[in-house]
Amino acid sequence: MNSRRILYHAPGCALSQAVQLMLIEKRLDYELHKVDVTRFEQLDPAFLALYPSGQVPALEFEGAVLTEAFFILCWLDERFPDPPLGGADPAARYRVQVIGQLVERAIAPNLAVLEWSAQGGAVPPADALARLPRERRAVWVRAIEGFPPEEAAAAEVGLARALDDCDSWLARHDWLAGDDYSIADILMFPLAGRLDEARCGTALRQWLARVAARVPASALAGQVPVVTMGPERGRWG
Amino acid sequence: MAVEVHTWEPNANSGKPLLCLHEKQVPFTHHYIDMGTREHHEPAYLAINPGGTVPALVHDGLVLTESTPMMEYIDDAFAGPPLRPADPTLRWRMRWIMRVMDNSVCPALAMIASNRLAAPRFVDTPEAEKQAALAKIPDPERRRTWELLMHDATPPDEIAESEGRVTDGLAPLESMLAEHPYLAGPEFSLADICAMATFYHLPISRPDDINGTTTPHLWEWLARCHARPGLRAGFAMGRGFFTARAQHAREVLGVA
Repeated sequence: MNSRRILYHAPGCALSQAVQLMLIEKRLDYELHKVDVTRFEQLDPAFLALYPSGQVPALEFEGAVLTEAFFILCWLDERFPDPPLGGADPAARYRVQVIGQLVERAIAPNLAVLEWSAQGGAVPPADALARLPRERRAVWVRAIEGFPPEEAAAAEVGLARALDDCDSWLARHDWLAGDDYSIADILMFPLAGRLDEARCGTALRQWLARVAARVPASALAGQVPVVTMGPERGRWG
Repeated sequence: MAVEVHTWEPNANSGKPLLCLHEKQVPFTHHYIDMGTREHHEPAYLAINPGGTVPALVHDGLVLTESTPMMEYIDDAFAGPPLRPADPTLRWRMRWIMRVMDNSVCPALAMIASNRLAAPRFVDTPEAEKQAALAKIPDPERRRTWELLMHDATPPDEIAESEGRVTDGLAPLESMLAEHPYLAGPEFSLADICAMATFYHLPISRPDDINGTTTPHLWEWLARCHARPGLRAGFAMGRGFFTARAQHAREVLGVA
């Protein structure tokens, strides 16, 4: 059996960091393989052959080939249940899935639009773009043209609403899924950690400090945030 | 222990909890919310789900409003036939398929269908009435969607992009189903429910692309799913067009 455990990650990419933190929580040995997203290694044909969406993180784990940060966290928790991080009861597990969606649909994509609009980023070559599936290509095409002001404004509103939801929940609960630390917290922590403080309410800031106290400080040392194109924003409600 | 579910027709997101509860064999009370008259934006429904989206499921005081996590909850919280694979990698596959459906295929199909079916109904509606209806929609992104729809203003290239996404979403299904009888592996799962809620009408809506010769495995899967008593009971919960369309699809597949 193939015993390789490789995390393909981009240093400074929040969703890659979430998977790294999860592997540490589960005390698993693994190799880190850096994908240089500033040189578009994630769009190389060899990488796309394994991971067609051309996104990091991706995890190759003893023969399983896995993408999508939140689903990787779910997989790791189900495959290695100790310590349990998936929620203690059906209501908490529902909440974990809802946070997974919120991060993927509202937080990561809106933050990517805003970071790109503010800082820009490297533009991939046309032949690399042509290899991407349709919705990934659509996001890049809009980014390269420059997101129109109304899209940046909608991203601002969408991000603020999602963060407000988290903040008002955290005013009543210690953790994003309720009473217990879970993969919802692990997924959200690296994204929340790169936000301007002004975007975060009091409860969210206190939660950030609680998570930071749990996470081994050295785990992500030396990683500088990179702007990567997140998942696509919703197209049709 | 009571389960109350608020949905529109057994179609797309509203279809998911109806089909799922029947497959899981959970008794429930159904409240029909008429999206045609935009009942989901009225105060009575907003009191249950302030977000103004359907479906909503209420169980022991817990209100659930996200349709895919709601299906995981139904499988998790109730006894009955398992609807998620035990193997983590097949479960990953189940979630990955649901994600493609939820984030890419379903929004694309909704854009196409609502522009074809719903947009023409607003041609003679006075502008003041449109604005009053729009003002009731809590979510700004959904408000924008309805605004485009009511003014027949969706850009044509967006609709063309959506057509491409539906085609791209359908293409891998045939090869996945050649490998396994169901989308997430050997057993029926939430991935099949999620896809059926959106694709149940393929035999009649896309007969040139989807048929027993061109896509034999997809065709057999449609027949296998449509023959299931749970899915049939779920599709029977509509009030007209959608239930009749599911019945028509079963006739074409020979499982009526």
